[in-house]
Formats: sequence, C-alpha cells, structure tokens
Amino acid sequence: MKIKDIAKISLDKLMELGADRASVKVNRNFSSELQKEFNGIDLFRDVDAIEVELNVIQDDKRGLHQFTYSEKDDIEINVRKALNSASESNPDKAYGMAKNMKYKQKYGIDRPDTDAMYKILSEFEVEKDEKFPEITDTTSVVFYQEEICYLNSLDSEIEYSNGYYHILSLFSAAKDGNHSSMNFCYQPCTQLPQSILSLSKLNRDYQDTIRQMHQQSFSDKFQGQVILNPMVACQLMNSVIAELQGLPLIDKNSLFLDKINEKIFNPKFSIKSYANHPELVNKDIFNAEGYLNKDDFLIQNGELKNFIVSEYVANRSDYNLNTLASECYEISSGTEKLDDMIKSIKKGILVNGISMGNPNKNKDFSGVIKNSYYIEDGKIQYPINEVMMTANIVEMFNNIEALSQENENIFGSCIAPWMKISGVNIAGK
Amino acid sequence: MNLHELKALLDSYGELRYQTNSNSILMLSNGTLVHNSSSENKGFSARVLKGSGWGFASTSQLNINEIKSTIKQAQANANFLNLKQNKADLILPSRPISLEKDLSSKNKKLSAREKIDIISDLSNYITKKYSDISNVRITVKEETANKRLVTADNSDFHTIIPRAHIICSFIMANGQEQITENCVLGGLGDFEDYYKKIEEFKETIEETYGHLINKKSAVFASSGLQDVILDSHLAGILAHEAIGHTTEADIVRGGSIMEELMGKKVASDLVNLIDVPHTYKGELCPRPVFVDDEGVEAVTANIIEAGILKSFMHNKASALAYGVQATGNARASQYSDEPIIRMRNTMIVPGKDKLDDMIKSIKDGYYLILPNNGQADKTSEFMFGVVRGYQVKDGKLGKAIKETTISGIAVNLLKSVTAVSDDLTWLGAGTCGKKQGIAVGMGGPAIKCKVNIGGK
Repeated sequence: MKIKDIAKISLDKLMELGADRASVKVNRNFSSELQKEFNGIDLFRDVDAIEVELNVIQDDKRGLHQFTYSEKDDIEINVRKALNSASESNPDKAYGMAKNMKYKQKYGIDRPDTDAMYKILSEFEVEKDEKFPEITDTTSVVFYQEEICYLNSLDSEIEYSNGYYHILSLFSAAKDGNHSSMNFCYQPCTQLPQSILSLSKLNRDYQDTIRQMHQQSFSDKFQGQVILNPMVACQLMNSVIAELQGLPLIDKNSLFLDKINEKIFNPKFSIKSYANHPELVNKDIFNAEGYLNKDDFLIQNGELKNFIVSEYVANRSDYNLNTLASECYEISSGTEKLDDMIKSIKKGILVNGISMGNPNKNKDFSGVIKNSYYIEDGKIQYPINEVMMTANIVEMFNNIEALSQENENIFGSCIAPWMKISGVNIAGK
Repeated sequence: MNLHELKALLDSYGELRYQTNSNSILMLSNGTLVHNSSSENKGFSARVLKGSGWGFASTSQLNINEIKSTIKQAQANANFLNLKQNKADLILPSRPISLEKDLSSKNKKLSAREKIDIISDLSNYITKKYSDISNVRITVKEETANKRLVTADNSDFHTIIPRAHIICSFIMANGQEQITENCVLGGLGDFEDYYKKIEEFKETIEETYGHLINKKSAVFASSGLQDVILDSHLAGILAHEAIGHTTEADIVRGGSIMEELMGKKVASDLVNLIDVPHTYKGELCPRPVFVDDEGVEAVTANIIEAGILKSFMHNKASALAYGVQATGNARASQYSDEPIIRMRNTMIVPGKDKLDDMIKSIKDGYYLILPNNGQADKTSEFMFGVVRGYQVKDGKLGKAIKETTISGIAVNLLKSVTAVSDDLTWLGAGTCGKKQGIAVGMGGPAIKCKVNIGGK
C-alpha cells in the first residue's frame, strides 16, 4: 500500500472513532549498507520499514502512538490504542495542530547503485591499505531514503522524499606499539564519489590520526585560547539550541528567557536555522504539529533573534508561534584563515574532538580533548592525550576572538567554521 | 508466523528473528502532563552467511510473502558478497539452545491513567514538601523487548525482557545559576513491579534534595590527577566504559590496545571484572541475556581476574577467530539491527573494604557518587560525566562539587586501585550507543583509585 493511502485510512479511522482533531505521519525508510571491517566487506544489509505516528486530540486530551505498519488490519488496532491513550490522558487546551499547510517536494536520489557502492568500497579496501597501512578501519557506504506523508484533520498535507548516500569510516592508527585514539569521518553525498579516498576530509583525518600515534601528555594547567573545529562548535551549539525551545520556555528556566534582541553572544556569532539548506542533505521541513518550518536567524551578530515556538509552547507561555527548524543550521563563517588563527595563538589547543559530560543547566562542562594538538608560538607542536578542558558554553561563545573563512558540513545537518576562543581552562595530568 | 517452517528456506547458516520493541513515556513537568506516548517497533529480519559475507534484510510488513521475500533478499545480499569475494566458508562454532523466558510483571497491569495518577501524587508530594524546588519533572520510561529467534544450527528462543524507570529531576534557582539533581527508581521489570516502592523511594528523594541544597555552595573540582573514591554507583560505568568496550572482541580486532595486553597485568590484584549474562549471586541482573541473538547460550566473560586480563567478549565469528568459546555477547537492539558484540551486565566484583574506611583514608581528594554519560577509546582512554560529588579533606566529606568529568587511561586507573568495597550497586537505566542503542546493566562496588578530574 502507498504511504499516502496508509495515512488517509488512518486519519479517516481516527476521525470516525471519535477524534476531535488528528494527524498521521507515515514514514517509509529504506536503507542499504555495505560494510567493510577487518576481514573485508562482510555485511550487506537492507532495511525496509514503514512507521506510522498517530496523534489524536479528543476532549482536549492528547494521545500519541507510533507503530510499524505491517498490514491494513494494523490500522484500526493502533488507532484504538491512540484514542485510548488520549482518553486516559490529562486535558490541556494548549495542544496545537497546523491548519491548511501544504508542501510537496522530492529531494536527492531514489534508489542505490549497489554495484557502484561495492566498487568504491572494494577499491578503497586496497587503496587504503597501500596508502595508509597504519590505519585500521570499519567503513560503510550507506544509501538512505525516507518518504514522508503527513496529513491532519485541519487540511494539512505534507509530502516529501529524500535520498542520499553517506560514507562512514571509524578508524584508528597503530604501528610499533604506538596507538592513536579512535576517530571517525562521516560524509553525506547525493552522488557517490569516484573513490572514497578522494574525499579530502577523510584523507586529512587519516593523516591526522597517523600523526596522533605519537601523542604526548603534559602536566601544565593554564587558562588560554583554543580553536574549536566545526564539529565541536556544533556539539556545543546543540546544547544552546535546547534552551531556545520547548519546556525551558514553558517552565521559564531557559538561560535566555526575556533576552530577545539582547546580546547573548559575541557580535561575531550568527546562527541561522534552515528547513531546507541546499548544502545539507538532512531536512527539517515541518514540526510535530504540522507547521512548516521557516528559515531565520536564531542569533544574529550576537543578539538573540528568535525562539523556536510551537503552538503548544505558545499557548503555554508568553511567546508567539514561531516555527523554525531546530535540527539544521548554519553558523556564519568569519574572515580569518584557519592557518592565521593558529599562527596567532601563543599557547593553546586545536580542539578536534571532545569527549564530554553533559553540560549542566548553566552550560558548565568539562571533557577530555581528543584527536587534538598543543599549539605554542603560533605553531602546532604535538598531538596530546589525557588533557581536559573546562569551560562554560555561554562564556565561550562570548569569548570568540575569530571565526574562520573555512567551514565544514557536519553530519549533513549543520555548517560551521572553526572558532578561536579565549579564557578556556586546560589541564593536563 | 512459524519461524521453524521458515527455517526450511535457509540454504546456509542463518538466523531468523521476529522482534517487537514496545516503549512508553509519561512526563510531568511541575504537575502538568507534557508527554504521553507509546510505540511498537515490530518486524522480521533474516541474516544469512555465505562464504564469509553476511546478508541481512528486514521488514516491518509481516505477511508471509513479505517475510519470504525478506529471507530471499538476505540470501541475495550474502550471495552478492560471496560471488564478488569468493572467500573460504566460515564454519562458525555452534552451541544451540532452546529457551523461553518471560520476565514481564505478574502483577495486575495498570492503565496509563492509573500511572499518571500515581506520578501526579508523587509530583504533588515533592512540590509541597520541597517548595524551593522550582521545577519538578517526573518521567516514566518503560521498554520491553520481545524476541523470537531460530537459527540454522537449531537454536530457538522466545524472551520477553522489560525494564521500567521512574526518573525524578529537580531544578533549583541559586542566584543567577540553576542547579539540578535527579534520582531514579526502577530496573528490570515493569512499572507494576516498582510503583509500590514509591513510599521507600521518598527516602531517596529526601537524600537527593539534601544533595541539591549542598550544591548551592558547590565549588569547581581542582583539575588534574586526584585521589578519589568512586562510589558503587560509578563502578559500573567505569567497568563498561573503561574496560568493557576495549575488550569487546570486534573492537579488539579493530585495533584495541587490549590485544597486546592479553595475559598481562592491567589492574591491581584487587580488581576482578566480569560481564555477566543474567544472574549474579542468585539475583537477576538489570539486563538479563539468557541466549544471544546468534542463538548462543550466554555465559560469563571473565575479563580481568586478580588484575590479569584473561578474556574478551565474543560472538560466533570472533570466537572462531580467537579459537575460544563464544560467550553469547551478540546482541541486536531492534528487529532491523544485525547482532554485534555488546556488553550485557558488566561489573567489578566487590571486595572486602568498607566504604566509610575508604573515605577516611583520603587526605585530600574527592568522593564521586553519580555518573551520567560516558565514552571509551581503543587506547583505553575513557571519560564519564559525574553529576554528584564531594571534596574529601582529612578523611571527611567537604563541599559539594559542580558537575565534572573524569578521565584516564583505564589500565593506569585500575592499577592505582588500593581498596574495593564490599557492597554492590547495579544501574539498569543505561543505554549503550555502539552503532545501535541497547539496554545494558552496569554494576560494582566503591573503589579507591587515582583519576584525572576536570575543573579549575
């Protein structure tokens, strides 16, 4: 059965059995994965699943039930579960649902070229061993496609499909008793590359990791400058975005409450959310209530410009409905070259990864710096291990000294530059 | 659907699995129900071995034609690899078992309404008693894995393994800052197995409130290598992150430093570390695995004995590669996941010391109590977050410390262990994220050691 038919039958059944308002989201996921491990290409995995999400509001009470679709008879069984869930819930007049939203689009590619996937992975197996014999890896070439249909009882109809490949390599280096830390490279793409080693980021990361076999620890403690790579910048940013939406706004414990149009970060810092960024394979088209997401700045030149406000949050807070994408964004690049940023550092760290505890509510955190380098007198000196960083994310984004011209696409969801930041506590053993 | 009949379709080694993962979440924030959801992730998968290549396919559509087509797809995928590579057949070790286990609650099932009422009462109790807590969030998380599996080498099992937790999270304003604490009730079983313990859980809430108040004057830890007591609540995550991941045989084959350390001293004589399948000292562990998803009867992996690295955790293929017995560590999270080597219930074995004496023996250091997330590396460098801890000065507890992270090289840390307490705490709410998120148990006693701590 087509997913739109599943959605229509489910919605009709929800309304027939007593829902006041209802929505159905049907998502068909297909993925095809070839994986190379230490013994060669040893796994070819296909996944095909249809997931149905039922959202029902009845007498101001809401039920949310998700199931994997197997056959038509499943629909009524699960519709009754969703309705029962609503009937047992607490009433809340704040529940929202979008009216008359319409969207139809197709992104990316439809189906995988399995032979081409195998070809580049098998060629990579040979090339990698020749060029980077120190590297031990698990590398996958994956095709992923999702087909989504959202319908609700307020005449909203959203349909889109999205298909792309990604290449994921998990690796480490070892030689003569020297070991690097683990590292990884994730590269999404809508067309397979000619060869996996033609991906410049993967080449760079393999070279880095080989260099990382000779890590040094230090006993120094200092407060100094760091350069965060784009992945670490996004890792920290995601913790900030959690404060700009949802329960922190309702419960009035967001760190940025009442700060709209006020400076919260350094004026160099801007971040814009995107429902559909052309360079990002992941899309964040609509929210759980069926509202289409807008593209807009969350923070512009350091000033907080927007919260992400669903209808539910709007109805339970003082904020107006404002549906922006929360999962896809771009942090604006700066004017300096990464090399010049490194040259400008007297004593600091190039942070390529951080393995950290969850930041606390005030955004204090500490973590182990991974795959990273000690910088002194403007030069990268040596790779480090057992070095910890302690800082506050809000203070860090206020202490930005420079943003790089260069940026990177992180997991197909975010784009960010390197960030030079001062005032970070660094401690060796 | 009869898996035994479908097994006749296999023309080489393979596994057929039917699995449902059911989840539900209820969440109250300051007494308002903000989340009420349930899900059923149900499907079928086939994994087939041809030569040395695995073909895997899964579907959520459970009619007989789709299931047969999924088996054919798995075979076609395996054939694809076999024809391209033409490698020698892997002859996997076999230890078939037939088993049925249903660990779901035998108590009367409660409706969602009854559960909401129970946690609303708890929320009201906390709000009234501790009026200075600005946000009280209570979350009920329930998840059950219902699996049926048959293998070509004649294993078959059906297990139903649930877990349920009631998580209380608190936020308190402290000047410009906000401080947080949490406590958890639950483990193996259903909500119905735990809600009657809420009265005694109120003692834990009182204790947690005390820690929240102490955090109002919390200080940053002093960064660097410190003498610490890791409480029994932390020992499990230490076992899991610091040693566990580095001794999963697929990680070992992929370059873990532990390959070179087999048979060597990696810890103090006081340290024994094991991965338990289901039962320890007559009690079920938080995540019992009686038989793994390759149909192998699960046995204990004795990883470290008296400080010596003795064994790794294995699936069938790694056991074949190392010439040892498979330990039953092949686990798949969802029906659409292939089994990979995972921990089950990883623990440091309790010793003979008393926690109070261990704290008294610290001149200047920290007593670290509760963890949150953690990560590990093939080098055995690990980290995990610590959300509750205290200074120790001259053997006495001092000020609370702010949330921090500890890290180190596992073998260095374990060699520094000078005391192991005689108690044991299991944590069962953890989810390990190696490729697929899966429920694991972690346990152990308190230990005295040296560790690198984040701070100022």
